[in-house]
Amino acid sequence: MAKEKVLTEKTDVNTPFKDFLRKFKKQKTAIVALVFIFMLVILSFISYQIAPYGINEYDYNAIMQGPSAAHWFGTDEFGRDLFSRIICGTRISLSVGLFSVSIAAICGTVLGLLGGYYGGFLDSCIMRICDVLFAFPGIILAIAIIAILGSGMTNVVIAVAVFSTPTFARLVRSTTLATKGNVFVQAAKNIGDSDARILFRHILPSAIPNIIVQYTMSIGTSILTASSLSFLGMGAQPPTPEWGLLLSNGRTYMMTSWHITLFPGLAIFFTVLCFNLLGDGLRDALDPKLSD
Amino acid sequence: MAEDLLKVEGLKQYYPVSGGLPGKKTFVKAVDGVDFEVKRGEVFGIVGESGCGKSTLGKAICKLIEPTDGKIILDGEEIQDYNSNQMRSVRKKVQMVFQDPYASLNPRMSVRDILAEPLIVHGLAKGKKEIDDKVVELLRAVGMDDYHARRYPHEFSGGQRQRIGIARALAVRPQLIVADEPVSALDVSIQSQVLNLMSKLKKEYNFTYIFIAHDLSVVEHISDRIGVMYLGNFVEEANKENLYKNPMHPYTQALLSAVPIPDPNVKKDRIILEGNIPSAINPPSGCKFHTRCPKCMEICKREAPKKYQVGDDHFVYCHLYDKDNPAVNKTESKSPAKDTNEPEAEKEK
Amino acid sequence: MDTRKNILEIKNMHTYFYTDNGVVKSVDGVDIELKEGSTLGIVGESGSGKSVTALSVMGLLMGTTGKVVEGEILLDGKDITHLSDEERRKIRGNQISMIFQEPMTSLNPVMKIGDQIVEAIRMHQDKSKAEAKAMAVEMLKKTGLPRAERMVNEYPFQLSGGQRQRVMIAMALVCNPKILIADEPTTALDVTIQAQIIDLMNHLKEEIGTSIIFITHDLGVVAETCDDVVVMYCGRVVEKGNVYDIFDRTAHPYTEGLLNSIPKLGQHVEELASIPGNVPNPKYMPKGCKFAPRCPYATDRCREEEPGFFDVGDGHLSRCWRSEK
Repeated sequence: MAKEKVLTEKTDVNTPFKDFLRKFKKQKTAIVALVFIFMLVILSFISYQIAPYGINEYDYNAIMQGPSAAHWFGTDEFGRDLFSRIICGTRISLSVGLFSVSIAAICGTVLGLLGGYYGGFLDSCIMRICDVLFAFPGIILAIAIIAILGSGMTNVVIAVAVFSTPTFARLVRSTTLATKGNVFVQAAKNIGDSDARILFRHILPSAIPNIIVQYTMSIGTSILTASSLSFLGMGAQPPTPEWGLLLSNGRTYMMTSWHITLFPGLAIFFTVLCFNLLGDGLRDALDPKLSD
Repeated sequence: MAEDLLKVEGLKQYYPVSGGLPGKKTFVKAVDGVDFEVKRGEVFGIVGESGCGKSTLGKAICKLIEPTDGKIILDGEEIQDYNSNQMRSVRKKVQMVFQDPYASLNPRMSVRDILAEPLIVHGLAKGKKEIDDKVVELLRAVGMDDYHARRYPHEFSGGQRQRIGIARALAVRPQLIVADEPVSALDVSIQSQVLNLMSKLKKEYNFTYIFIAHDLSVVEHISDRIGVMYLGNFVEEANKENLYKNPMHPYTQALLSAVPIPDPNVKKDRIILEGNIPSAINPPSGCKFHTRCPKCMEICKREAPKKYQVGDDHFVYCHLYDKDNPAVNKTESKSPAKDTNEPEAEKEK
Repeated sequence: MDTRKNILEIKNMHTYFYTDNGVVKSVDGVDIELKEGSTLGIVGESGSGKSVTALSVMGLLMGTTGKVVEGEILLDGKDITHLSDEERRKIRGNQISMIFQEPMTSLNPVMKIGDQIVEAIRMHQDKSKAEAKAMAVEMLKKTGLPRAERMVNEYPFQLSGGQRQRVMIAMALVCNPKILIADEPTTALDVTIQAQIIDLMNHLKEEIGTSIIFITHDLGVVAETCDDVVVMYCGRVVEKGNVYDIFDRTAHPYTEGLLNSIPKLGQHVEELASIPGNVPNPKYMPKGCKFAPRCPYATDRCREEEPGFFDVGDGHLSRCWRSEK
């Protein structure tokens, strides 16, 4: 079969990853979002070093001042520098988002794989639990969990993880159901692969693009939920510079000092928007149906 | 040579159908009691139209689905009740090649990983180096190049993918390969390449094949013995000379006459069957072919025919060949079994 | 020489697809003539451009990245290549009809059979609903469907594959088109059903007087149905002539390879002849004759220079240097 060599370019290797990169490069907004998120991540590491003021540095001479050269985002009711507090809050919001969604993604994926692959009673149990969780509005579910566990950031992470898990479980289950019927899964069975190997080597990789997209989108949602909980006084406690908490503090002075609510609000807004835009871009780049 | 490698007895494969009347379970009788043997070293062809159960039969033999009833005896081992752990060792003896070369290869794995899979699972090669060597060896055996190992399935044409599928089955050095329509998705010029490759590998590795296909000319080319299926049952089973020169069952005759001949000078009279294949959920009573059979008799509607031997290595499931049945002898002036050129008295009408 | 006039002429047609990875020249200079009242077979493997040729003639490339970039399509002497969508729609279904390979997916699953045919009729003819329905029943009967009166009120899922293909044929022929293009109409069907459909098409051709373009990869079907044959490879016609020319006086090595590589019933051979290699990837199209890399007779000239057509007798053309006199 030496003839085949003539027909195919030996050097022209095209892996699925390369393919993904090529398509992702076309998603301009997603790339901007990715750059922004990347900057946020760096910021979360160095924020305490670069912050012009300490996060709990009270300055009673400069209470509730508007934005100025000394205080870019102004100061709050205790004269704390809002800019410093917001950039230091990045770490809290990002880690809450990352941790809770990672927990949810792992739990949801395992549950979805098992339910989808084995079906039957196990599947019914998993899916009914998911249905119950879906029946609660997310924030109320989170409040209920906090009410049981008590407030605090760790419990916020757990609450947000619990309410994100069913989304992953459903998503992975449906991909598993679709992939399970594929001939290549039968082929794996035919070779003698064990169930675990089929699940993790053949079915899971097919679900990973969907999981990545959902993961990115969920980070946005969970940052939002964590902030909401803090806003409601159920998450971070003062004087933590959590964005939701900052927003909640500024609420009282909204009529007189709008900047105290505006800047934390913008921080939440842009972060969540970036994760959603990145998620959209990833979806378009990873979707095999949109291939040329 | 005459030893049976595979023996199938009364194999049934029913699928429950949801949405029937409550309290009454209905089934698709995909395979409805099939008996046959495959001798070591031969190619047994199974031919039939879509919905006749030939693919289901193939999958049941490989235990990719759990048979409802019946026995599968492979190399002296009764494997029908084996669970997936017990099957692990059996999988080294029987392998399947799938119809659709596009769907049967995992699109997210490189060819190297696809071919390494059976080697790792069965511990046939240890360490990266040994696996890589074996993968290259497999690729060469199916006429592909070393550098193909780094490629992903989507970069290959149908024929090349099917070669990879065959290489994967080859990896465990099985005794029996069940090939389910291995060439029907391929282009004409590629079909013959793959058929030749399969013949070559059979000689090299001394395989036994079960070759499932709907294309009679392909089956005739590669097989030694052929079984014709209709609606979950065999209707005729014979070596290929007998089957093609002297088809006995009315269905086989119609099937053979329907094949278009690539020669414009040959204008043949064909038997065009009326109607469609009935549903396997509620198959016709008696002989399942009686609704379309041009030679249907009263008894056919009532009783399912038994297996009648009509010649050397030639069996047919049809009441026309039941010598002991007075109803048959009344309508037939002579015993049709002896009539080798025109199997049926055409003046039946 | 056949003196019937050409109802359809395709002259030097090029259809290209513009993708992210560059231009794919699916059809690259094709000349095809269909004589009135005859059946023309277009034979080729996947990637040969046979289906794209049909879609180009039908004007069904809209919505894809494909475009007829050069050449003419003459229907009854009139160029239809550059007509507007609106004018194209009038021709489609009325003068040229098409049936597709997949009888499962080419009917609308949520519309009654009768309504689908009625719609096809009323798009081109000024008929009342009742009249159109009567025509639909009449046509379904002609295609040999049992209980046609009841079938008009059924949905496609209630029919078998063969019945659906008959419905497709009925729908395509109900406006008495001059040309019927059948793209692999029997490939998805079983042999016994295929025999029924071929029989039906041959019969309807006589009755309605439609000219048929039969696109297939199955040489057996071609031998049984076609008067003239065009063999395509890599977007080009490589050989054309009447059916006896192609099968008995094969001139092009590709046609020869195709004919030899199909197993024939009752003729046992140890090893099948086969064409080595694969159809070239459009990305790496060889220069010179496109078949040269797989051709047993290829010379240096074939690899460098692409041959034109050579007449090997009475309108039997072959695109091969070996046919040059």
